Amino acid sequence: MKAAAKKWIKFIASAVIVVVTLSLLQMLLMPKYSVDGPVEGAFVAEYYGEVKDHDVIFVGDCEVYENFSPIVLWRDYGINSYIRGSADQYIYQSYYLLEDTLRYETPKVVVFNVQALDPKREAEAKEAYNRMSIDGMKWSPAKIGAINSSMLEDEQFLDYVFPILRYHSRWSELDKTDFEYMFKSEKVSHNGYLMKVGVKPAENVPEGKPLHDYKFTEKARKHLDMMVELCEKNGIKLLLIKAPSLYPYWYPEYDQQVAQYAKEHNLTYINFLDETIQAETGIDYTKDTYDAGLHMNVEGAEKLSEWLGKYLTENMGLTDRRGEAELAACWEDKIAFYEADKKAKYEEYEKNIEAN
Amino acid sequence: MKRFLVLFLSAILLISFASCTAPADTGNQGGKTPKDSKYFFKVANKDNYAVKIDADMADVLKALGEPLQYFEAASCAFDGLDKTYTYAGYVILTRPDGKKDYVNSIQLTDDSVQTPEGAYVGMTPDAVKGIYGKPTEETETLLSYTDGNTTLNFILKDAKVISIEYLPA
Repeated sequence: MKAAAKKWIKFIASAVIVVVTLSLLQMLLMPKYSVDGPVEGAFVAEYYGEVKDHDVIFVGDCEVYENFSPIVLWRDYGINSYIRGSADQYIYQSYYLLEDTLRYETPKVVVFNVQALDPKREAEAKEAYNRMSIDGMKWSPAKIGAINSSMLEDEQFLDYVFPILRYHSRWSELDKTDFEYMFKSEKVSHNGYLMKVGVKPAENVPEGKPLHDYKFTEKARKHLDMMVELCEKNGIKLLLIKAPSLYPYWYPEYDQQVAQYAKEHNLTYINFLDETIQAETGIDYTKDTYDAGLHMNVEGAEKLSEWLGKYLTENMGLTDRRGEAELAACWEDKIAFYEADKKAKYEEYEKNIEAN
Repeated sequence: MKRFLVLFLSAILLISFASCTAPADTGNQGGKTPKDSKYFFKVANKDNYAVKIDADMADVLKALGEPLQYFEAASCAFDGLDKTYTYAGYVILTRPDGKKDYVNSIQLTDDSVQTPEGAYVGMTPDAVKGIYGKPTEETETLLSYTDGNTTLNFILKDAKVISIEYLPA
C-alpha cells in the first residue's frame, strides 16, 4: 500500500516538474511584444489588468486603436472606455474579443469599425496577425472560437494551446529581454490607444482599383450578425463606424452595404469619411495624420474623440462619471501616464527632425 | 514511471519538430521564387520593358524611371511599406520583403496601354476571349486567366473591360 502511494507521489511530482519546466520554457520563448515589438501584439493581454467597468468598448484594428483616445473621452466627457484592438483584426476576431470582454463586464455601448468587413482583408489574412489577436487572450470558449474561426490552412489548433510548439525556433534569438520579461510586460497603450506623434500630410492617396466583387463574405456577414445578436442579448447599443482612414480605400459599394445593414438592424452607422462629419470633427489631413492619411496622430485622435464623446453623450445616453471618486482617481494616473508619454514622444520626434 | 516520462517528453519533442515551419513573427509574404508565366506586361514606350509579378522593383524603377505619382503605406504593425507607383495608363503595387520590394500587382487603368497580346480597357469580354481563349474563371464581372506565378484578371462592367490586372497566382 505504502509502496503504491510512494509510486503515485513520485509520478505526480515528476509530471508537475515536466509541466512546470515546459511552461517556463514556453514563457521564455514567447515573443515579448511590449518591449521587443511589434507593441500591437501586447494589446489584447493588457486589457485583463484593467478595472472592468467600462461604458464603451471599441473593437477593431489600427483604425480604432490609433484613431480614438479614451483619455479624451474621460477627460472631457467622463466616459470610461477601452479599446480592445489588435493589428489587422478580422471581424471574427472582433466578435470573439467582444465575447471575451462580456465575461468580465457589460458595457453600455460597443463601437465596431467596419473596415474589418473588407473582403480583401480576409483573403490576405496572415498567421502573424492571428497570433497578435489570439495569443494574448485568456482561455475561454471565446478564445477557442477565435482560434477556430481564424486558423489558416497551415495552422494547427494545438499550436495555439501550446505556443511553445510554434515559437520553439526562437531559442536561437533569445536575449536578455526574453529573460527579463518572462513574468512581466510593460504597459504600452492608453486603455488600448496607441499614441503616435508627427505629421505626414495625406498626398497622392490612390483610389481603389475596380473589383469584380464588392460583396462582404458570408463569414464576415455571419460574424456581424453574431455581434448584433450578442449585443441585443446583453442590452448593449452597437455603434458601427468607419474611421477616417483614407487607405485602404473604402469603396462606396462597401459603404452602401453597411448603411443598408444598419438600416435593416436599426443600428447607427457613422462614416467619418463623410464630408459633413469630417467638417464637424475638424480633421485636417495636412496636419492630423502621421502617415499620409492612414491613421491619425495624437492631435487627430483627440479631435475625433472630442466629436465622438459629444455624440455618445447626446445620442447614446452616456452620462458623465467624473464625479465617481475611485474611478476619477484611477483616471488621474492614466492621464498622467498619457501626458508623460506624449511629452516623451514629441521630444523624440523633434530630436529626429533636428537630426535629419 | 520513467518510461512514461520519456514517452511524454519524446511526444512533446516530436510534436515540436513536426510543427516546425516558418517563424510566426514575420508579417511579410516574402519574396517568392519567380516562376515563369506567359502573362506579363510590356511597356511600349520603354523599349517593351517586361514588368513581371514578383520582379525586384528596383530593377523595374531603373527601366521605367520616376512615376507620375508615388504613395506608400506602412503595413499594420510590421516594418516595411506597401508602395504604389502610378504611371500613365498603369499602376504598379509592391510588397516588401526585407530591404527589397517586389511587384505584387500591375493594373492597366485606361486604353493608352494594352497587354502584349493586344487586350485593352474598353474591350468586350468576347474580344478578350477571342485573344486568350477559355478563361480559368469566368463570372459576369470577371474573366480570369492563370499561368505559372501570375493571374491575369479582366474586370468587367456593363459588358466592357474596365480594368486589367496582373496578380500573384
